[in-house]
Amino acid sequence: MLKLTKQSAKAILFLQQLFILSAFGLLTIRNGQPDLMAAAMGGAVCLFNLLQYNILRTAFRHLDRFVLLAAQFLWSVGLIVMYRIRPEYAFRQGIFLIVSTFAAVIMMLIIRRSKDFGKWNWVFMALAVMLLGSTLVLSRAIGGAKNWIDIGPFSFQPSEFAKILFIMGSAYFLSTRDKLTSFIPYIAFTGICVLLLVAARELGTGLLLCGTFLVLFFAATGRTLLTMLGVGVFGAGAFASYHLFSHVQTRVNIWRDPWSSYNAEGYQIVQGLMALASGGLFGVGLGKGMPGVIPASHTDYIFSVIGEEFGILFAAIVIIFYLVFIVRGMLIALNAENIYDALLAFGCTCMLSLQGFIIIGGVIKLIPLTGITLPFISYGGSSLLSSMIQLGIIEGVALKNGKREEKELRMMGADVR
Amino acid sequence: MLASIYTVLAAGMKYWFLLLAALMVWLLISSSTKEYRERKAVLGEIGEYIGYLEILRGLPEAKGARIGITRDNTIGSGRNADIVIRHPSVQKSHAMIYLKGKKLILSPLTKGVTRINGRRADNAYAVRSGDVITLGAVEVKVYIRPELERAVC
Repeated sequence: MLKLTKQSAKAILFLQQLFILSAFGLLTIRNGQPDLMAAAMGGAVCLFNLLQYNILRTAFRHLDRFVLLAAQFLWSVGLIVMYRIRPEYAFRQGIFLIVSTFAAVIMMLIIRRSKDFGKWNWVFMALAVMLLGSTLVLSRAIGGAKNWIDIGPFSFQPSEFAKILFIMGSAYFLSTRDKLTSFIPYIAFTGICVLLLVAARELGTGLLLCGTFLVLFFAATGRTLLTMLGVGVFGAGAFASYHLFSHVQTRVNIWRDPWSSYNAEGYQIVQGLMALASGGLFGVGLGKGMPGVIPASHTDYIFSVIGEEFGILFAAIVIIFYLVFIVRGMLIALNAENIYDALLAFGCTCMLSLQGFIIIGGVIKLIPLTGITLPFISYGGSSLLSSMIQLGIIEGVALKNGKREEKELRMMGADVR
Repeated sequence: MLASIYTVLAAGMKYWFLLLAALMVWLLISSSTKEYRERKAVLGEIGEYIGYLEILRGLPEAKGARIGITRDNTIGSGRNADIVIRHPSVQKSHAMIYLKGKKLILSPLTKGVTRINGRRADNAYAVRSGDVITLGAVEVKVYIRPELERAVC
């Protein structure tokens, strides 16, 4: 009799717990006197991951556990580094993590039940444009980019949520249309989103949307020539914005030679590079580095802090965790029942991986630095919430796949464990 | 005192963290690929099935069990049969069930009892979804995938 069994992931979870406990244990004795707060935080993170994994696995039989485990490791590393930089960051991020887990579960439930949202996609698209437009009117600037909105004591980044709406709109358009002219509203929508992002000086997210658009368009239609044309238009747009906007020019100039403006614009890149260099292969040890000298070390530049304290080999393993996440996400997309689900899962995977590539590339000076967060690791409520919602979408599609497969297997008399 | 312990520990534990992370990623990749391969093999085999036989009577311990049928199977109690039904009234190679063109054909191989819907079958006959086949004292119900069945009609 045929049997479909799932591999045990207990060993991975155990190693993860060991990692978190030993890292927070080390942080406990960092300041010369025992810091019980660190021990408590370590215990809380462990308990949270364990509970989250087991509850989700029991509640959803077809959960893709490897995607969840990869994400869990990523945010655990983030919390450790944040606690080391400033404990308050870790506490706040922990609360965001609990809230966004609920958001991810809600998203899983929605995606599991839904087909494409039909006419609602027009509402989503309008909402995305409104969210991006609202930043221009209501925002305050952080580090040159106008992308934050304050509502009472909370502040949030509308572009993070526009990204998710963009993926849903893309999946709808690319799965339901096939004539070229019927793509015009969608292409116009992408153009408006990117223009609004560039106007708000949010170049990273603009680059992210462009990249996701091109990849999704190619994946859905398979038209090489048109995609190349899109790349050409995108290149021309990038070239034009280099000449039109001074902030783009600054970004490119400090990328080409950050050392000449070490005391001014290039400071962040140079500090990040020096942190990576001083870390070397194995790092200087947790708590022994100097993340204080890197601006935005807990958000955009968290990768260089990881590189400094844990070493570049560890940082490479962090990247491999992203790769595992990406490969599993793509397998889920390939396995999906219909094109809409496939594009939804693929879009989220693509968005998260491009986001990681853009910021890690920026930090190691491979591409010009554009400030976006490292998914799951960086500090930031909106960013984590948006990453978790995307994780929820991927898991939701996985649940659908699993249910369909189980039905098929059971019908033919196979057993599913 | 604690500060010097910390310095030593921090310097040593970076290798420990690296080891843990490397082990974790290795386990993650190996178990994920293993699960993927197994899943693919099982689903591939299921994809080969053109239908199944559901055991109705004669084998109380396996009542309701479903046995997948491929394009070409022998049924019998012997070890070499594709579909093994262990029952004294079933011959070693009792019958064959196979796809010919777009029809599923049941062909008895021995003098043992083979019936289709209660009528004795001495030669090869086409069977459809819902037909009950009697092999010795065992009754099974045939189910063919709807997409294949539709092609026949």
